[in-house]
Amino acid sequence: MGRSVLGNKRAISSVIGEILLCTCVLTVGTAAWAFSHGYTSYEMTNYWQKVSVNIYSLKERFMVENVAFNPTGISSGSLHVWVYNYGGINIQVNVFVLRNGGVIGQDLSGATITRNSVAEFTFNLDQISVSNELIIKVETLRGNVNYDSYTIP
Amino acid sequence: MIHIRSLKRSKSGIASVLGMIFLVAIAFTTIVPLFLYVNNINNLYNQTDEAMREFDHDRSLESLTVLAYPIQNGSALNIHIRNKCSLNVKVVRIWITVNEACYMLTNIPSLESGISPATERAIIGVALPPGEKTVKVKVTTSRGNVFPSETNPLYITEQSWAAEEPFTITVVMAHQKSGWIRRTVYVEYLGVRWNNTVEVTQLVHEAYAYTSIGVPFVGDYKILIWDNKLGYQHDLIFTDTVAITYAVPAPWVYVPSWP
Repeated sequence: MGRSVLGNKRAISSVIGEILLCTCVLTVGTAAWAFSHGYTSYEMTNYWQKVSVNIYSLKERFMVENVAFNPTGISSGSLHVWVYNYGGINIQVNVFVLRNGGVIGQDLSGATITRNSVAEFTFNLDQISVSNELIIKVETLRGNVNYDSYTIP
Repeated sequence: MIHIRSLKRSKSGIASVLGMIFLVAIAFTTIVPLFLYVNNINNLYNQTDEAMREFDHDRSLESLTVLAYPIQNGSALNIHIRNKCSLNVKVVRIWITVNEACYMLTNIPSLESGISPATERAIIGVALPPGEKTVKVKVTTSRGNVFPSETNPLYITEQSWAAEEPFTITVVMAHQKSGWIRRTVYVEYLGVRWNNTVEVTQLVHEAYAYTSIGVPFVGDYKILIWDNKLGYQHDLIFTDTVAITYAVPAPWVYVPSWP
């Protein structure tokens, strides 16, 4: 009888020990699962953000479609630049007008050009003369660049 | 006895089993989905890359022939567009530049459906402003190509019109007596960097030697002519400035006789 009680007591302590161990495993396991779940969610979002930038950058297609110059004085005039977005996504662009490597006109508004549409940019230029060769640089906020050249008629 | 022992063993293994279950659960609920997600995103990137490559390839294949000519004494313009490639091409805009003023034609009904391969579309009677004018036409496609008219630039007066041949300067050099004439003609564009040097060696019987020099742009050109009789560029005998305009695309320059 006494033996069996003793035996039972031992059994109880081992059960309690096992329950404590299981509780620890459950606690640590749950914490590990929660941490790993949160971390992978963060990594997923982070990875998608990085790759999506590259995907959108790949999808950008644009060009300088037309350029025209209207003289307003002997050495001044307005330059009209039409930029065509023929890609599948909207783009935001900055436009620069360069002569001899220096910027003589710029539009840093980051204007949005919706997909399959054309946008006009106007620059008032001074100290410009016939036969001046201008370089028009269009740069998107995602980092793609396109160039065109134009000679003042 | 054996039963109690196995029970003890099984009790002591519950925590290990739970731990293993958690490990597997973590693997299947976090690591595997992360792997699949990254794989999907990489596939999406590759698909986009492939699609854009194909788009660029199609763009490079586009080919249109554009012909524009005036009608009704230069008060209107007909534009013919022929698709010479194997793709359906959609023209989204037509640019008409009249004396450097730009006009944009969009939403043209006859071009709404695109131009099938080896077919032609005509845009008839596009109104032009009156008077003497220089007209340039170009069309833009939905794939981002621009095709200028083969008749650019058109020089239109009320009586006639002409599609310009390449601009040329014809130099006429007088020579008093029959014999060989050896000259160097140098032409320089007064604008962007362009120049050309032509050596002329001709046997003159009829008092004049001729040479034509093609030039690329409208504008002013400086001409220098040397006589080479006593050596290369021995005597500078002539300097002049010549204007190339759409009205006078091929001017002649007269060089007096040199002893």
